[in-house]
Amino acid sequence: MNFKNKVKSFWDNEAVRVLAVAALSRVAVLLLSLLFYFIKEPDGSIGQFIEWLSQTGDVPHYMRIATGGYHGDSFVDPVGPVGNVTAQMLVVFYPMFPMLMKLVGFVVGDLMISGMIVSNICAILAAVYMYKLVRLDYSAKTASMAVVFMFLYPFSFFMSFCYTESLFIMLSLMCIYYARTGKWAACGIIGFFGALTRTQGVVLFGVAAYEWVIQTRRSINPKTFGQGIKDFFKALPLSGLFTLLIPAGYGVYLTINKVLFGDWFRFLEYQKAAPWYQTSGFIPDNLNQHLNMAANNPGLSFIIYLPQFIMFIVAFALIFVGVKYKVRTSYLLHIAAYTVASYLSTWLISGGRYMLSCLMMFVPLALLARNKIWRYGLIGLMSALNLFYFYLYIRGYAIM
Amino acid sequence: MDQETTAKILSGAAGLFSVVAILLLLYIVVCEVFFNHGGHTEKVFGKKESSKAGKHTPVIMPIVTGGVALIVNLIVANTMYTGTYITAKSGAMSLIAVEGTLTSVKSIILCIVSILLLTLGSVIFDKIGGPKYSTLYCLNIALSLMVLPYTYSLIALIFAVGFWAFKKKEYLSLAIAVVAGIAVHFPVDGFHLGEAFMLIYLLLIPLMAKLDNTKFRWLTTTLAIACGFFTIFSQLIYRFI
Repeated sequence: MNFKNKVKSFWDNEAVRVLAVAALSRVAVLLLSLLFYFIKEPDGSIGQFIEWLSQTGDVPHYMRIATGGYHGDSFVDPVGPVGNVTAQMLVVFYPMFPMLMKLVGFVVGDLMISGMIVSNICAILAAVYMYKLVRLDYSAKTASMAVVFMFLYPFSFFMSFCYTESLFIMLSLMCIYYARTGKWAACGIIGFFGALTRTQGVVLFGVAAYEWVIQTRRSINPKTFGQGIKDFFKALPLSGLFTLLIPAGYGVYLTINKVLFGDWFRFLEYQKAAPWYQTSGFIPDNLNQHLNMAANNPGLSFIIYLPQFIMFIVAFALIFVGVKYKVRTSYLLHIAAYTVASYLSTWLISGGRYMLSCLMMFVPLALLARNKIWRYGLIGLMSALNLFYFYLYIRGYAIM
Repeated sequence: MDQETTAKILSGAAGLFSVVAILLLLYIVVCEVFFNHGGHTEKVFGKKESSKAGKHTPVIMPIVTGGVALIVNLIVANTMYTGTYITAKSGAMSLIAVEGTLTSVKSIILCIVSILLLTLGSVIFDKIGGPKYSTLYCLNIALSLMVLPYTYSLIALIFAVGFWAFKKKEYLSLAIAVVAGIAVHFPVDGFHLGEAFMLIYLLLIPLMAKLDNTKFRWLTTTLAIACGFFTIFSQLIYRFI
């Protein structure tokens, strides 16, 4: 095969095309962020922009963990609390992302830049795996739309900055993809790292386990219930036990708590305290709080509370859409489990961002987009909201 | 009903909605695991629908896009500014000019009238060039202004009638439409930029529709959607600068 044909063959690979477009989209997001920043600060510089980014949201905390790791009760921090967060309280943040920041930081030098490199590379790979996953069941067009909607989600700009979003999304998609294709070792190992990235990572175990069960179930055709039980356990691949690595990842996080503080669940106590005030609560009560906060804080209503409330309804509405379009049950279970896990928090203020990682909702959305009106309407609405919230984020509004 | 009661009802309804979805999923899980079928949900939800755009596009599209633009305007008005408006500052329409705030009942009724005028214009454009024309009409760059209690949607409707008359070579109707358009908004304090953009966009619709049949379809689709919602974005940006 000559060089020209090799290039053509390479470019004909759907995954390569998705990778290229995803990479371009990351460049576009970064350029847009600079544009928005220079609208706000006409005399600013790129260095000042990076400096400003390193002070926003949870970024300082990730940088502290990447620099100095976690600390136990006996540690005396020479720097003191940063934004009411002591060195000990940093244990509420999971270790995977700061670890990668540090690793890449050895090469790059600057932790903020290394965090952004990790995020953007993970975002690109996430696009490829979203495409590959949806492509298992649907057309190239539907798979492309799922990727488009993921990148147009109103808070998707967080995927380009120093947050856990891209890493978690990439690991989640890879985990589900390998579960779908029966590669249980890869699923388990990747899910292990997913569980070490965010609390919601442990939800992946439910998805993977269900796939393990249902793929086996579909391979047998028993005549009686008793025969079915025997055939099921005979056919169940032992390699599926690798999925237990996913809760094991969560176990590692709990072990970190135990080693540092002698308490498996010390992170829960810190989450309850300032500045997070997070516990678990009855979801309708939590939603009620969102609406009351929206009414009492008009300036934050359309930034934090209303988007959170709306996304809860949208997620469950998309389950019904998924049932109508016969979307794979494990995907719909992921939507339900992830949404419930996220909305159990009593003082949720990052719901809009968290729901970006409710990845399987982009599948029924992509199926809706097979209708032209839905496609144009959704693309337009999501683009407008994405630009709006992106602009407000760069302007320093309380989008976190 | 006070705000707290409303919040309780809405959050309770959302919770109930999620419970129904979860129960449905559990039912499907049981069917798949024990009976190896998907729960026969097509008996409730029906078969997959066709992906063709419906014949009701020229009516549904303006209601949807206009409704979204109106909701965004109301959110902006409620949370960021409480500006007043006058429906028409000049021309024949100034005879029935009404002043008020954007979130008053009177204003919302007039906004709904604007959306109805938008829908009429969409139906006329559909008669001229089919669903492509009506879709592009509903994604106008001045959409956000066309749903407010101003004369934008009325001018756009008169333009649509004039364009139809031009296509049908009904020159008398065309002349009446031109005179009506001028009378409705004879400029007193200058021609507004929003109106200029709206009319230029309307004039470009036939070209955009033609390009949609070529390899530049992606360009016209993107442009139309970006135009349609740019105006919302610019309205919101304006409030924050």
